[in-house]
Amino acid sequence: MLIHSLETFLFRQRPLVILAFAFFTAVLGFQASNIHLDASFNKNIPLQHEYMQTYVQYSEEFGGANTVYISVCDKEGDIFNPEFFEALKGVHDQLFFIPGINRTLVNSLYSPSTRFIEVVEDGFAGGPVIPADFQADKQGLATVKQNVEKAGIVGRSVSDDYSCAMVSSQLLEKNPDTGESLDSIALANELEKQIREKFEDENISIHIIGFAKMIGDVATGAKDVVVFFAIAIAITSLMVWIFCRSLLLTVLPIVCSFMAVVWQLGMLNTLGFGLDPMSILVPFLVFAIGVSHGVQMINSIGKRVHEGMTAREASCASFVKLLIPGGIALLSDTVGFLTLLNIDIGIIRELAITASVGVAIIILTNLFLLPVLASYIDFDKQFKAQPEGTHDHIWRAMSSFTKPKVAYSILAVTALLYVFGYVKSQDMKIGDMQAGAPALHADSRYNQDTFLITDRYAISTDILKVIVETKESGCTYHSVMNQIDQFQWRLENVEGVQSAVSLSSVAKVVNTGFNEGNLKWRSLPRNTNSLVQSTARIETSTGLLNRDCSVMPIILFLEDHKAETIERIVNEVKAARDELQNDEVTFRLASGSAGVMAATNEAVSAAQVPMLWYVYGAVVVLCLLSFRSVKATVAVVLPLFVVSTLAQALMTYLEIGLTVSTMPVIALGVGIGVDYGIYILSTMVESLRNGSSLRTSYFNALKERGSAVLFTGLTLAIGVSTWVFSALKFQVDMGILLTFMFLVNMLGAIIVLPALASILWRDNNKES
Amino acid sequence: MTKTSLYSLILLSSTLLGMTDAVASLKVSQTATPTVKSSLADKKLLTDITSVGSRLFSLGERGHIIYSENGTDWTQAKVPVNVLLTSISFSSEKTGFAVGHDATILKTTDGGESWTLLNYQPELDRPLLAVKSFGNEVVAVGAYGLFWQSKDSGNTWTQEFHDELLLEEDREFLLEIKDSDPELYEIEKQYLLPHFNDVYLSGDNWYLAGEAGFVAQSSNQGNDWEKLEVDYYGSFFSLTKNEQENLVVAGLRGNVFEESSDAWQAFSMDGKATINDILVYKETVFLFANSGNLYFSANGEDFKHYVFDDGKAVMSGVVKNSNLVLATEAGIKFIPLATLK
Repeated sequence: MLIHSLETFLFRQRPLVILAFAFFTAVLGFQASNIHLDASFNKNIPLQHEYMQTYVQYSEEFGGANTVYISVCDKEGDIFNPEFFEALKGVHDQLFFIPGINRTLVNSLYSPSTRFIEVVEDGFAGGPVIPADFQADKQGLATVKQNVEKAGIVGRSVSDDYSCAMVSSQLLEKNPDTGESLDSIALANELEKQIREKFEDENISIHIIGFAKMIGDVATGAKDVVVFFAIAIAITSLMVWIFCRSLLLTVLPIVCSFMAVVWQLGMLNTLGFGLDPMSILVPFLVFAIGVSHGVQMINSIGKRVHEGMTAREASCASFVKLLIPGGIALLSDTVGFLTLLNIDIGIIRELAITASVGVAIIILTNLFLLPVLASYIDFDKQFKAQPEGTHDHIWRAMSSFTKPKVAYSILAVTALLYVFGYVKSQDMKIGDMQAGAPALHADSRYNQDTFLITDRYAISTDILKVIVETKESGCTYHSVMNQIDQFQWRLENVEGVQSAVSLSSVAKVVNTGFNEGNLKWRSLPRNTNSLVQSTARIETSTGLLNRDCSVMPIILFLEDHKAETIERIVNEVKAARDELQNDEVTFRLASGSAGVMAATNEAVSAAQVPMLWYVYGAVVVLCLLSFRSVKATVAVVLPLFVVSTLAQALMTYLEIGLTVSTMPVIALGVGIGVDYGIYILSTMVESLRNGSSLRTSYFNALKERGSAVLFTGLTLAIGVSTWVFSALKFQVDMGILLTFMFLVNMLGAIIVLPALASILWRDNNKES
Repeated sequence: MTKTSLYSLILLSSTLLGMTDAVASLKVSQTATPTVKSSLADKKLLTDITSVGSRLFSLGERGHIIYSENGTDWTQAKVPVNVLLTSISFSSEKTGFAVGHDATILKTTDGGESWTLLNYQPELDRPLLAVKSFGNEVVAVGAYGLFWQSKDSGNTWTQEFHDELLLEEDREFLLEIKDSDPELYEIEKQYLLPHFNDVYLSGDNWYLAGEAGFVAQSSNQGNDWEKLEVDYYGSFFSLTKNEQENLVVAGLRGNVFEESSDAWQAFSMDGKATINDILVYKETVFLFANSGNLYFSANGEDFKHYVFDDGKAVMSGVVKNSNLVLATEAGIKFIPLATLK
């Protein structure tokens, strides 16, 4: 009833409806034109996670995990020349003035906190590594070289082979003056313009790494996504035309789907969101899902026109026929994506909103507007005269999938595939699996820079900080400092920990210094006065203590940031914590880049299963409501589930780790796949209820919608497969995964679904 | 280049204060935490190395004592403490002693595989820095003139205080307060002596090296001591005798002095790295120094220089199978003797 009143309204007020859509398109199109790429470090972090509470609590005192490292290298391989030091100073000073840089934490040979200490007959001598009166002449450079060695910073501020020097800084998440969030992409551009362009020349090379730079490079690569969009749209259009042989019918689903994307982007901008470079593929997915539904619509209209209806009659009938199955499919996508809001990671929540808004809009553009527009088409005689039933022989052949024997074979193969997929999917790794940034190709500048830095410096950029909380002036108590020392030693022994530092280990070194540099004194003094002497000169800018030394991080440098390395170390931290924690000393996870990764990995692996439950839950509930049949629900969901599992296996095979950016793809895959099943099954169920046999029902469904399903799967798969040529590794990976999902979900709907049906509707499965 | 100076003999009447304050005060005053097995034991700070029979022994931080037959594969011994150990010495293949922080004294009787704790007194806040054993004699010395001695292979010990090793003015000051303020006397006594960094036993002749240019000699197995005056006020960390039976002391900032016919000959090493230990191997003298420096001389006169790139302190070394096996800040290291030419 509701549908009919909707139908009456829509088709009586056609100009009004079109005008309304045009109006919204204009408004939202304007909004969409202002959309900007937006990335922030904190968005990628599960802020409610136990570790991240620690991280946030202490990020002001001890810095966050968002660091940028700039290695300035001499191409000749020796930094001790005047040009190099001029460039290094230039980079240091320039970095200082780039907005977003935490100026107090800019570190290089030129920072005043880079000092050396040496023992002489009457005590200590020391000073800044680069003296105030430094002249870049032979003598001055020789002095600096000696000071660098005395300061023990080879491998940290200077590379192992003296070919590079490091300038690093932490970034401020919020601008202290304006309170605005850090614009990582703008910062990356500044680094490129103010640092790389200015200082890189025939003698000097500049290598920049860090989250902000990585996301900046992804954003740059993401701009090419527009080109791939265009290619995909062109391929899709051509295919639709071949499919329906009508220019106007071709234009409609493309235009309506594109309109959905425009609306989506406009809505996002209106809601105050930007588009994250890692979510840049979502608009394309919306387009793809839109095309899928649009093609069903024009297929239905075309068929009815061939049967002799007028354009308007055909459009009305198709609207009535498709609103329910299409609406259910899109609604279950929307609800499914919305459930992702439960996952406490900013970027996934954003994706939930982006995707669900987009999919909901498709209901309007492709189920409502499209038939209204189609009703205006004046089909020519040639189109109308196209014969009906040309593909019947194919559909008849395929309908044999419902024969019990065939069905059992299909199901057996599917079960085997599932088992294989399940086993393989258990090997899917959480987190990043490669040394560099997985979103970028190994030969990208960013990853090449990463490899250079890991290669030439001893100190790793993968840092896990354990925060030690104790009483006020804790560093003056031997019991406290010793506990920290014991903890640190335990962790130093764990595979994957390259080295470690804490106030305790530095105090031991200082104590050595107070005893004439004799290493037989490299121990924590028992006596409070001596201990105070050993810690008093260590400044808070070292990041090893807070002002009253009631909080002292233990900094672990890791060999890499593979998920298993981080997990192993985190487990050891927990074991050591349980053993060494007491009334005086509390050990808390975690800060540092690896601390953030540990939390993210844990959150991702914890969210993985619930996420699928949410999405499938939404699909199941909506299928139950619409089909009012458990059998039908099973027939739709089971093939989807097998495909999800196989997609996970594919991720294992392609060495794509499960991260905040790759995890939602599985959920999106469900959204892509559910359409096919629902369209096929809704016709089948209707036919079954009319008393037809299963085989006939399936034949009818294929005849009605099969070509559209087959066609959509193929078209979208071809469009997406062009992504393997992308400059972004991330997009290449996504291209492969989506191609797989479009194709295999389609196959699932037309092969596995009827086979399942032959068992579920056994009673109807008797040949007449 | 070389600078000579006379050393003066300061003979003191040992009757002024009573020769020694002998106290049998060895004890384990607190529960010690045993060392933990670690695969890093031969890669972290090692402070001393020695060779006994076919075995090498080294020791260092966190109660690590390690031994090896070939110098490459090391086994970690069972040690009941986890403090920084500083010196090791064997009187036979089976019996040996190790000392370290918290006044730790350890003894082994099974060739170094397991160790028992003879002394552990954290409340003293005083490390022992060197131990030497010879026959049944064992001497352990350390911070603020800590001096423990056993004549029966570590079964009974005496703590010795030799006031003749004090500066003249300190000695007089102590004498003054001994009767008037016995409490202050006991306190002051503990802090007036310099750190004893090394001890060397050569028959009846014993020697001490220490803080602020301190060198002393005893010709009757430690009963009476005399200070030897060297024209240097920096600290000495090692002393030994070379092939010519001349005393050699070495210390801060690359300073080395060799005693020959009543005069000290001074040597200064390139790079001024503080010398931690001396090894006399046949005619060659090796000096192990901070910041990755190694000095060696075939004739005891002209020193050559070798530097490890990592700049980690070299603490001590022994020769094994024509390799120099080194205890360093970064664990065990090797150099074939052939490369040191």
